[in-house]
Amino acid sequence: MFKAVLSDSSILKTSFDAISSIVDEVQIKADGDGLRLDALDRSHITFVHLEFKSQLFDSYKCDEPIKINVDTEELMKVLKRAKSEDIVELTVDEGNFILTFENEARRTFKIRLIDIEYEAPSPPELEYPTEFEIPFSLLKDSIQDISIVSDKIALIMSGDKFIASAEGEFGDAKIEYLHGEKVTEDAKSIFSLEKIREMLKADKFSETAVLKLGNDMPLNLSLKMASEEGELTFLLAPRIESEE
Amino acid sequence: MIINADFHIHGKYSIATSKNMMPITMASQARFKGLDLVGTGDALHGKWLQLLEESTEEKADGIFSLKEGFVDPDSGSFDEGGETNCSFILTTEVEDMKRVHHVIIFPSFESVGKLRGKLRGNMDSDGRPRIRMLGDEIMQLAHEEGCIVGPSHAFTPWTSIYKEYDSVYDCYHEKPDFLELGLSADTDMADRIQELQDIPFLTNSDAHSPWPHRLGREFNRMELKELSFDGLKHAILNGNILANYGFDPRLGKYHKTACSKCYRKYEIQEAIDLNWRCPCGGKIKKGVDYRIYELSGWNKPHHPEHRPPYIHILPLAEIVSLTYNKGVTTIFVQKIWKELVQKFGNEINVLIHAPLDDIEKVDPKVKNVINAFRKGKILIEAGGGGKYGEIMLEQNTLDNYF
Repeated sequence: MFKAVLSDSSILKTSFDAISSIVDEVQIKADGDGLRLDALDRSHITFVHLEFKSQLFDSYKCDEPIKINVDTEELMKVLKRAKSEDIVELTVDEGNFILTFENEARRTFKIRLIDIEYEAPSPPELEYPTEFEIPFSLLKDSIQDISIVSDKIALIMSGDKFIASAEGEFGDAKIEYLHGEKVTEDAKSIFSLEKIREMLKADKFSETAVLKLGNDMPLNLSLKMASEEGELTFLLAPRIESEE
Repeated sequence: MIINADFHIHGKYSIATSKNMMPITMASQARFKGLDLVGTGDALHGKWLQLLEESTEEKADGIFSLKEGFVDPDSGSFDEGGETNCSFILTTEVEDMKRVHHVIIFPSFESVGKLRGKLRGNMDSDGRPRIRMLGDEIMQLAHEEGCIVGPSHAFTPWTSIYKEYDSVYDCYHEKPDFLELGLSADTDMADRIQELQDIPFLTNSDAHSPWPHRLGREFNRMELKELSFDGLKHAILNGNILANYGFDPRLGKYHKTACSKCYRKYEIQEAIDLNWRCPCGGKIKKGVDYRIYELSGWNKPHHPEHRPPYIHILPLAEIVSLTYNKGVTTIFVQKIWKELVQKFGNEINVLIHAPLDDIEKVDPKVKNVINAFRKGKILIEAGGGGKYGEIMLEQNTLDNYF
């Protein structure tokens, strides 16, 4: 039997707001420790890893490991119907993922489970020369700033500064931030702005983002709850060739 | 006259086939794909045959079109295409006693009825009937009824002629009328096999649904004296196929040797060492590339003079799906696909002929990907074990990091 109850629906909403814009179907694995999801987008550019520990939930029960395969768009449609004060209950039956929102009324939504042929790979373990924290809001604003001039962004670690910059046809933009970490090596990689924007839809997950950067390496962007009961991590392939 | 034809599909009474595989849907979808002629598939199946007889009328010998104003009794769908719809020719696929699949093309309903009476097996249990006879017996009976016959997806590991035999002559004891290459092979691969030099190749979709990434994903461009069964038979037997349009074989489900359960790909020696059993418990199936290597006498293709060019295509809907990173059957992707084919007439025009500037006016992002396709800059991760190959844009992916 699987049943998980959560008094805060926003964490689910914000997670799947990002996830559903990256992948159209996911396999959520549930076991005694909690929920976990790994997914790679169709073009193999973004990987997403989500983990909710059982302690995050107000109550959590999972007798045996199960796999919940759902269409993320359908899941998001349902999650959008949740109000912030609703208590969310997650269960499954033979063919459905069942979400119940309880408040003045008890509202139940069933999402058909789907067949997923291929298992997503586990997240790769990469060694990065740099790792630092940045306020989520600042990162989001930087992306907005850059989007005025380009659809690509260079993320750079240079000494004590983290720099986000872009050169566009009609202008340039540069944002500098003193990261306050001891960084021994500089790093620079270029990424698709649109892909980063998709990740940053999870804006209610955490107030800070942990970034790992290397030279022409994937961006590792991790959002961790202060309580350490949940984690949402993205891996984004760097752009090495210039666009046509 | 020049036509585009796809001879191998399955109707709604076949296992694992969309309920939308009905003449009425197929006819209109086929036209969007640029097909003039589509095989009915499953012609030996009683209910399908009845549906074909009720919904079509013969417009030339052996060539059928939807009856004007026909309303499908099950779905309520009605014919909107009129003259613009494609035509049908009676075809089926059968499975013989050795689990080898064959495609049969019929000259008439009468010949279908007669062959139904001669073949041993339950014709009505599945759209693709299992016949309790061998390939040569089936071919002989089909020839008696004036049909043309050849092996389906000739090199695949589960149900093809070359999974069972090392020569087509071991199966038929005579030359087949054609050989269907299947999605995982192309002319360059098959023309390394000496015994196939004088056999015409067909490229057909084997579609189980009318979705635009399935129906007509492979087809034959042919020159006919007239649009009739005889015209078609003459063109196939006399090498009047102008071009085979089909997948890059790496996109096929059985191109590489791989596990049929977890789809892990194997080098052939590794598969042999594991006795064709993957550690996950699944069976490892031999890839079409390796099967052709085993059968081939030449390292390079030897194209006979009659062999037409093989033109690699991709389903346009897959290109739109790749562009927007959305599922190929989503409303979003289908809407853009439809807009493009309506503007340029059909899918092949969009893929190959339409000026990029004009495509850009419909969708600039799709234009970039079509440009990449035309320049051969779309990357392909080969399929195997039952999993289709995947297309990717030439850009950095995370694949190197897993």
